[in-house]
Amino acid sequence: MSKIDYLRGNEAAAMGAKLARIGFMGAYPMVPSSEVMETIRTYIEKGELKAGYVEADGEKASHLATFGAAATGIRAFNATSSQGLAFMHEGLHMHAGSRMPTVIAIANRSLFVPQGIHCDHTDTISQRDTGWLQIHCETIQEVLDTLIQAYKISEHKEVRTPVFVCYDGYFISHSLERVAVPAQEEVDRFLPPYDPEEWNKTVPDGLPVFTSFGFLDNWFMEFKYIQWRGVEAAKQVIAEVDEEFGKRFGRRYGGLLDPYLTRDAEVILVTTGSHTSTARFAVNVMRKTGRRVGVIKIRSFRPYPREALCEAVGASQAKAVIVLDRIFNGAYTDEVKSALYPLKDRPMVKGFICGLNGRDVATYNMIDMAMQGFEMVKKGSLDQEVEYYFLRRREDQGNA
Amino acid sequence: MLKKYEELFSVKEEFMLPCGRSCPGCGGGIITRFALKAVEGKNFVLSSGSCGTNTTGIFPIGPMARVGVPVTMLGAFGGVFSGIREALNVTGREDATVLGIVGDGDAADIGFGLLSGMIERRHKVALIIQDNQGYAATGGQRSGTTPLKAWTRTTPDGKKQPPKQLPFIFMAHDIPYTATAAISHPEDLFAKIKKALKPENQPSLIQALSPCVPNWKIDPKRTIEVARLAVETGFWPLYEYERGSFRRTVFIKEKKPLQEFLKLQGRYAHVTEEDIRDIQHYMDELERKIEGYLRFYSQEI
Amino acid sequence: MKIVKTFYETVDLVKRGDFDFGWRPETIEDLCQEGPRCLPSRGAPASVTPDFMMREYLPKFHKEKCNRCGTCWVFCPLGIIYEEEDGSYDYEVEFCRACGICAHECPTQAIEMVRLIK
Repeated sequence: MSKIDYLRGNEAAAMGAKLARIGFMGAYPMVPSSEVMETIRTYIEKGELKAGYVEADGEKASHLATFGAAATGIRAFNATSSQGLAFMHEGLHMHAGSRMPTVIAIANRSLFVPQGIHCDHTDTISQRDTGWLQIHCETIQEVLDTLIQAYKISEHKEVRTPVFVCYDGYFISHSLERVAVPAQEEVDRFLPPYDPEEWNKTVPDGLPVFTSFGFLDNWFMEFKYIQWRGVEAAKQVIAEVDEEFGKRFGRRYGGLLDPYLTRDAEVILVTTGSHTSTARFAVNVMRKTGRRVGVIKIRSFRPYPREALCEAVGASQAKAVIVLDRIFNGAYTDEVKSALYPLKDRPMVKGFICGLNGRDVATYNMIDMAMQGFEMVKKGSLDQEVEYYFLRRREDQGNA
Repeated sequence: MLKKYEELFSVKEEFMLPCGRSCPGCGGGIITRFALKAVEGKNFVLSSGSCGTNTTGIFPIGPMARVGVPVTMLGAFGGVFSGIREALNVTGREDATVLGIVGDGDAADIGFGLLSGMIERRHKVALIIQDNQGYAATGGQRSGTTPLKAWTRTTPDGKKQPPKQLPFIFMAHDIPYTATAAISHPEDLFAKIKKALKPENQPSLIQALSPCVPNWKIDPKRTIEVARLAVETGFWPLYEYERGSFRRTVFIKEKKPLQEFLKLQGRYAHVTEEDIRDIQHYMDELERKIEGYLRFYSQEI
Repeated sequence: MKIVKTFYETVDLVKRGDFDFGWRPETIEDLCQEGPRCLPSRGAPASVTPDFMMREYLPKFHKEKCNRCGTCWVFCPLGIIYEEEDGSYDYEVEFCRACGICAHECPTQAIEMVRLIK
């Protein structure tokens, strides 16, 4: 039986990890995700969680400790953001290539220069080619649930790929929400203990450890092919795990993506992360005025839900797709365009770069963007493919 | 067999297979062979990407096929060993040994920060540093432990700075056990590895001198002779520090002239008289430091 | 897989659509098929031993001069020297890289590096 609690995003991530019965955490503080490691530490001190803990001397060391622990065959966890995630980059390739299931919680934050601690997706977009899976969460309840789902996805024998569970820094990590916390027994039924497979146990006295590959010149491509297949298999697995979670706990998040009122929509907004909630509200407002708008939330960023997106957009009557891009160079827009390429009647795709370093994207901003979408449809063309949205003017300088 | 090699002969089995890609005459082979004998091929032996990869080879064939050794990327061993150690502890396997064989470039340069953090957190790991005094696997560039005036690909006029002395650095971290060793004194090396594996002595670190045939430009058959002369000229003093007591393990009564050591190596072919004086001066300073530690730790001060 | 030598043979193959697309591995175990099969007695694969390496010299162990000190066994970087029942030493030829350390270190000069006649 779930109990109701009031949790912040970081606490929900830590709670999810505790319910998933992690065996190890490598930790290094990083704003805005430090509370995750601190909460896990309190759980260990209070005896609620039995896990190894290494407070490393840097994110590179903390990730490598997580990797080492995962190599011995236990469930490992880590949490970081922006600069720390960038520092781990080299090890992330090794980790994904080693096919070891791990989950890292990421509180999305912008990268330095300029210095900023607020929400931005530049940190995780920079890791999109490491081979890790990425799931973005919209609400705090989703963070807790996705963290439990993430271990099941990651440890699935077709997938065996590590996962980032991402949520917006400060918007989700530090705000408070009423959350239903599932009971440990129910989570145990959903998520069995981690059993590293036979091929991991190669050391003579049976200690499970992954023996990583040295120079594999002749078979490099084949190895990568098997790795890639694991990521592709995740498309199916993410949807299945979400469905099963929905059946057991009553909450589902749409699997790879979550379309909202898109079936008859003329303009579709595509969002990732917490401003999806604002977008849903904006869609409701516009529907009341007679405008047919819908929103698609991209939940799984890697593997990118190309087929699902094509299906959702193709089934609608959208002529314009507006992508809310929280990355300074419009990378989400590129992904959407590339995914929609196979459609016969391709809609126009426009990207608005908005919300960098936590700048608010309010309801009226989204309504404005949707209205621009309608103008695009009327005109039949768009003037700029990617545009920075709502920059301050020089006249605003006095009002910080 | 010779009495002094009795300990070495106690483990006759060879755990390292001869099929790797190391150069003919590579000193690293001796270090790996005896390190594996010391753990009797069991437990965790880890290596990291460097010349160690040549002795680790291609999984699952290769020299470590009998042992099964994880290879990490360069600069990573400090974090990975910490994680492995804690994970083993939390799953009730505190008695499993974690033995790492890493290169000098990894320990002294790229992985130095992480190594320092791992020692500071006192994770029970034994480390053997295969010191060939340069980045040998990438072609022989200078590293933090390249000695003064030595030729490398990035110091063609001779290195102008003295090397890092890793045992001294980690004595300042209050590491329980640290020592220098050389492949020419394998009985000393083996005894030190055995001491490094004792749980009360961990974390431990042994810096073992291992001449590199292509990068020191020596005749492959003289690998052991070069290492022996390094010790006997006082260039590479052998000492150990064990939980508050510091001692020399091989005492050279009459040091051989430095020139005997230098003339066997092509990497010192360019040295002038002034360079030799500088090298000798550095060696004298090193001797003074050792004397100082001997007095300090025997509490004569 | 056909190994095609000439331009026109290739053009012909393309016209006929006669391509062998090769084998796709399904599991990690498929990748390492070579390993277990090519392991001779001590587990070292023949493909990376110096069998095909050019060796100009090879050691020759003169058993009558051997004083059973074990120095050669200690210093071989590959560990291919082994002790026989009578206490003298011999080595595994197929793995030797002819570095010459055993010959140089032997105190009684019982090991000689002999030039191979090619």
